[in-house]
Amino acid sequence: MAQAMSGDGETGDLAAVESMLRAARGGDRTGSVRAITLNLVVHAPDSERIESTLEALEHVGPSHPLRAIVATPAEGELRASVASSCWVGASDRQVCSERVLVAASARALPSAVTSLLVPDLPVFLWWQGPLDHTGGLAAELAGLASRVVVDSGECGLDGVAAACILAESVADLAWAGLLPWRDAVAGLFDGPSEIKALERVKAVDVRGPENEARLMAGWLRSALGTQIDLHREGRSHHLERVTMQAGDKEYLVARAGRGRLGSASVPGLLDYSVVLAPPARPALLADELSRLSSDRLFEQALEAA
Amino acid sequence: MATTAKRPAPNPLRAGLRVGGASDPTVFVIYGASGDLSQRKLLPAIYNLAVRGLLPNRFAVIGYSRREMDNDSFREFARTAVEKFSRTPVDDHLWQAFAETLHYQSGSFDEEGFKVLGDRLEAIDAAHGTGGNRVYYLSTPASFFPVIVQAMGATKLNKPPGFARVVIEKPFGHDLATARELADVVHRPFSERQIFRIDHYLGKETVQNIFAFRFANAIFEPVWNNTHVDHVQITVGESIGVEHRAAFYEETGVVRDIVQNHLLQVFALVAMEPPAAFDADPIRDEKAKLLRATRPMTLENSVRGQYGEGYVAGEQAVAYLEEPNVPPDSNTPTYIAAKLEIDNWRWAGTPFYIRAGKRVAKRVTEVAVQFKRPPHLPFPTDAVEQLEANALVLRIQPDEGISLRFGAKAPTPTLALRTVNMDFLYGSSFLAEVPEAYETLILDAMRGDGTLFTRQDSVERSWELVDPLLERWRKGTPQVYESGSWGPDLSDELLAREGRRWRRP
Repeated sequence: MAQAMSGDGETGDLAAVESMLRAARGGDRTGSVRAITLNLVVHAPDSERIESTLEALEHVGPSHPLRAIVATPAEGELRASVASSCWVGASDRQVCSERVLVAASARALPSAVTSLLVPDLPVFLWWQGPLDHTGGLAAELAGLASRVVVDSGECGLDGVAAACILAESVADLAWAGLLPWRDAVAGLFDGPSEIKALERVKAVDVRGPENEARLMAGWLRSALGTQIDLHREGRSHHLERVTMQAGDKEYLVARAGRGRLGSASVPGLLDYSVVLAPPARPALLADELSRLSSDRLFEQALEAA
Repeated sequence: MATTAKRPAPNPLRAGLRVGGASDPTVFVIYGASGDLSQRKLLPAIYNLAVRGLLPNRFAVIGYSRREMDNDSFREFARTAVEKFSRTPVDDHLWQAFAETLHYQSGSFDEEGFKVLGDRLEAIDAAHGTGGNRVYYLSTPASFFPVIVQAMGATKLNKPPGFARVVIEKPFGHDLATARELADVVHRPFSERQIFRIDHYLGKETVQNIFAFRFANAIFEPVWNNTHVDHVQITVGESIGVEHRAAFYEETGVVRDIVQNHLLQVFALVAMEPPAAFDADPIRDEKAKLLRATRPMTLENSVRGQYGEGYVAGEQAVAYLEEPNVPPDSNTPTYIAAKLEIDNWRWAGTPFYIRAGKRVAKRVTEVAVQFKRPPHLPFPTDAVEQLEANALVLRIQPDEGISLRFGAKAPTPTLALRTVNMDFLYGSSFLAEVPEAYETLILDAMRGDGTLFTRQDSVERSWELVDPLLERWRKGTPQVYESGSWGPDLSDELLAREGRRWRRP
């Protein structure tokens, strides 16, 4: 997939942004029709996060033509820079996204963002950094959004809980990254005899980070409707192993080396391979932008975590 | 008639998982695993499902055919097929895991062979926990279908401990009588719900978009009827000739190859009533109702053609009769144009013109809905002389998208209206790689979702619509048309006599 073109410019006048974006798209020269599916407001509080945001947008753009408004709290006069990027796929198909970087004081940012939203399209807020529910910028930006995306690996489960207070629909990238693991763990019990074994599961052993371990246990508790004890160990930044004991039988999913694959072990069956590596973070973000409604399963797991 | 196995209690950990794939443990049996279809389509499609993480965790393929192979050589065969025909390159790491799921059993298509296959399947169930769930894919010539399903019934392969589904490829008979004979044979060991008749056209994303376009947008449906639509044109054009398939094509011709299945299915999607739900039965019920309301094709309302020599996209092309293995006196039609009439409230009086042909000007599949002119044009006559009626075109392939033709004022000193086209390419909103039709359909068969598969009543009704014409066309000769044209002159006359003309795709 090739990136076809991009244009850019800077301004201190938000009223000029639309015409600059039109020029970046080719303006009257091409008379191109804009096909944009959503607004993505990104809270990027520092240069490192701005950089990673731009990288993520390069990945998200081809599947979600969007207007990204990257908001950075900063002292001094409001500054905005605009760019338009297009990607060319098979059969010369082309999609384009727009990007506006806005730096302004925390008080000015919400109104700046509001003036830049494309009308009538859904608004997603991707909040990076610490988060609490006591108001301020997070609350104001969340108030504009249909869905808020956070990462509990960054803001902690308390931060996610705060986001749930601020918005109707919340997505957690860390939870989304657990999907291959949850699928593999569910797969341990896909056979009729294993479904019965689920009744005897009382504890789960997880080797991996605390947030993921708590979410995994929360998911099992809410899905099975029973108390499941969590035993966690390990200092890795990634999940390494999930073990469930049902009576005297052990059900196991474990990562194998650093590859995408792991193995699943069910008593009485041959071990089999499972895909465990989650998609990259930008791909997780792209997936969350495909959904507007709240994820009931996640909310229940979070509550039980 | 067999019944579907009772489903066990669902796994509570599966509830709400956004995996999107198949989760029931399954063994996928390919009859004719060493053949062309398996190599070109099935094995690459299954591999791509693995790449996308859509296969069940507990999954196995067992290839079955007469050719002697062991597991290792079948895995090598599959790897070569995937390397050659997959839309994604082979990932060595993933392949290692995928290859472990591939098994092979050689044998003949009879009870003796299938007893051995049954033992093998039980052994796989025991080792891999696949729970006796089976999808059987008949990737063999159609002449083997009756033999295979009969032997499956005799050896109880149709009644495993879990579910059993059988996927069969077109042709579903050669005419109405043979379609019913085939159905009788297949219905002895399998119920209709267990049978998945595959028409790969319905697996195309672009065809499924007709559903979305019609039933997810409130602005089009109110004008989708005989009050507003003058007529509809459906075109399935191929720029290629019969190539190396002359023997097959001599047996089928354009009606059996394209019209009875692909084209009538697209026609049904365009003209059917909205289903109550996007589920197999409501959709297939509406398609069947529409086909029942359609009049059988007649000699008077149809034109047949056969391609002569000419040029297609600048390349010289030989006539059909000069193609290798085509008899010099063949009257096989390679082109059809016809008028379909629907006797229902929505469409009575609004004709659907269809055309399909080989070696036409370009490869295209599209549906053009031609609207009626406004009842009164309050403009000077010379201002509207270039103004055409509104048209909405659903382009299925290539360049999938939608075009809307409407009138606009030209920026001239005197009032003049011109026709303009507003084009929308699906690719301008979604650049994601589109899965192959076989991936979609194999996954649906594993999930037990029959929405995109053809039900027997629609198969039979489709034959009822085309059989009278096929009978009349057994004699006589088709009109020769120049390769690279849009068909014979009579095709234009079919519309011209009703004051209409074909659109140029």
